[in-house]
Amino acid sequence: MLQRTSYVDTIYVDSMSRSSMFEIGDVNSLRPRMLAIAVQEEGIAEKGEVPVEFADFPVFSKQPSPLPSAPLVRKTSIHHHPKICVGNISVLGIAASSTLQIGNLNLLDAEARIKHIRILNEEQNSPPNNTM
Amino acid sequence: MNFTVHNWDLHVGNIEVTAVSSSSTLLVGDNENINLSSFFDTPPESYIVGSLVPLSRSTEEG
Repeated sequence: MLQRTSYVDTIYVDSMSRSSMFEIGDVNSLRPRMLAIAVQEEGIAEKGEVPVEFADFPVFSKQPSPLPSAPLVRKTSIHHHPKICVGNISVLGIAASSTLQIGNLNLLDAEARIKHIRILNEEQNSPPNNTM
Repeated sequence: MNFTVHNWDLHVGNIEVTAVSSSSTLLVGDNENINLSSFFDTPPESYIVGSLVPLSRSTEEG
């Protein structure tokens, strides 16, 4: 099958982090993985060592429930025009196993696992507000 | 099942995105197979109020 070519005039990306990808070109397969433990401790401003391991939390080891098997589909793509044209792309941030790709991509299998922990000081007199 | 796709002219003027995050994708091109998964564990069980071990640091008390 003849492949299409992507044409983009301008791209602006402000920032990228944590297993993210900005790719120009064709890719066969991409498998980004990101594990993160985000610890916020009340009253601590600077970075510090926090004794936590990924193994401490089941969110990092749980297997996703398998998807139902897809019906067998014989797909045929007919490209009448060999170009995908985009004028301008502007992205502020790409993060956490995410991808911005200009070009063809055969297989993308991305996974991000994030555990949030908040460590608060002793409860204050007022009842806790909405904790979200 | 047979599935036929006819791709005619595709012209996009402007794409503006604030953020692509937690295993998502912005793709300008053709693709066969995508599998994106994201696990998120946030409060309330992530809250530790007071000085419960093992996460508080004894040197930083007060």
